[in-house]
Amino acid sequence: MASFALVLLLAALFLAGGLALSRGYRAEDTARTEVQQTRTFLRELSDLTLLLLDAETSQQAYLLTGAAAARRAFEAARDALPPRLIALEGAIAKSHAGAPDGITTLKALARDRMAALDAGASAETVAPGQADAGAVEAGQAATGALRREIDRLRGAELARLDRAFADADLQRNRVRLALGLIGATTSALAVLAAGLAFRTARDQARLGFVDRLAAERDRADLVSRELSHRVKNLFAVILSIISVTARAERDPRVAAQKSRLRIQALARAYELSSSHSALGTAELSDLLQAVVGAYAPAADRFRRHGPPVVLPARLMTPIGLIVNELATNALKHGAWSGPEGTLSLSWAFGQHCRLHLTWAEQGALPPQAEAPGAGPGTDGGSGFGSRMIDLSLQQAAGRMTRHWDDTGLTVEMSFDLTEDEVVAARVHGA
Amino acid sequence: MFSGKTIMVVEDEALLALDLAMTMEDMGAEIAGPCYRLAPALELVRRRAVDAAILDVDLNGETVLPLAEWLTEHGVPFVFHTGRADPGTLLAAFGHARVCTKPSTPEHLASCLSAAMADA
Repeated sequence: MASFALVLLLAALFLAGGLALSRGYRAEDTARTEVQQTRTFLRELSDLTLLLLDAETSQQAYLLTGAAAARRAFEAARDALPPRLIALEGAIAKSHAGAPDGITTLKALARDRMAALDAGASAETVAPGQADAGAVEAGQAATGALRREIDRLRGAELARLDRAFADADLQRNRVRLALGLIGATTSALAVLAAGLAFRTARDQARLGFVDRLAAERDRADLVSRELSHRVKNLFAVILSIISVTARAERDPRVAAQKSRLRIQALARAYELSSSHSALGTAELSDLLQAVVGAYAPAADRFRRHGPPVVLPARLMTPIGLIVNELATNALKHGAWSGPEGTLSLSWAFGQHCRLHLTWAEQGALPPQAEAPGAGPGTDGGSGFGSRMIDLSLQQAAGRMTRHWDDTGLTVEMSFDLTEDEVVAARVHGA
Repeated sequence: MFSGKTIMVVEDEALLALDLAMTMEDMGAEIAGPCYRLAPALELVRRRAVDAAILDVDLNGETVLPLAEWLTEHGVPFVFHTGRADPGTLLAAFGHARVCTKPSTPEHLASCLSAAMADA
């Protein structure tokens, strides 16, 4: 707003300055012309004065001496008067745009004076030294009037010149003032523009900062919401573990023990997935070690073999629960129930984005009739562990086949991944 | 409480689904499902008549809302069962629906569901 007013002011000042400048030039021109005209006019006036003086002097010389030379000199002066008057009139007409009254008076006075002088010189009756006293007085009066008129005209002319100079000075001062104001306003505008530019730059910087801050806050909000969702889900799963385990076990102590084992397995899987760079995912090898390895009677009785694979988040809980059930069974009735049996886990990608996982127990004790939940009858059986495995398989869209031979239990599992999940699994795992 | 009724369970967490299914069975209900994905769930309700449904909102990144719309159109009561903190948007889209926030007990969910069935 202030800058707009300043620009308006500047425009007005430029207009005024231009006007003052042109008027100043015109005033100076006028003054210069005035000087030339005045000089010409004053020279004409002075020439006229000299001519009349010449005429008077030579007339008096003639009257006193009767010399012919003096008479000729007077006549020359007399004859020179008309052209001189014309020149004078011309000079004054130029400067005044038309002859003023004074010039007519002057001309009349000059002509009268010359005529009087001529008459005096022609009066041959008048003897030298006996000039008519009245005529002399009239002549002196006429000369005085003439001189006064000349002085008046000269004064008027000089006054005109002074006025012209004063006007030129006035215009020059106006130009100076306008230029000064233009300079001051321009400076103010420059300062204002610099201030504005600074403020704009600062505001933009501040805006960028605010934007970044908002983006960061949104990201933090998103992570926080996601975390909150995960935690709630986790609690729900834990509640379910307790509830379904308690439902399946008659003995409260067994129920508590199984619940604890399952929750611990979940906790290990969760710990893995929360430390992985992609939240909620983990290396398959690490998951197996954390969930299954925890039950291994000795480190050398548990082997893992497979390429690096990062499990998608959706498979973490089901695969964790499945291998947890299998591991507790192995400990109770399978390879790990005896002194020497081993468990080998191997995995690989097959066709159509399918992940194959093989669970192979070796050196197990032969199955016993009093272990209904883990023996060959487990396949499709009614045990609670089996039901949980089946549900987890459904959740993971996985398949499972089990068979039992002399060496022990072998479980073949496969899980279908999407192409994106396979890419992520391999990229992260590489 | 639900004897003779067919209750559908849509839940992507196997353990929760199992827990819910068992609780509902204890209360006399017959269970349809559990379904872990949207597509099988939609297929199931077209094949089989259900009296009510429990819907997890987020099915492994898929939203259950198309199924909720189908159930609304066919006058089947249901409750949302979600861990998401913003039930407001759900209620805005389904003004009549009840929302149970995870973690909740199967008993609480059952009372919510029976209230929803009483509404219908």
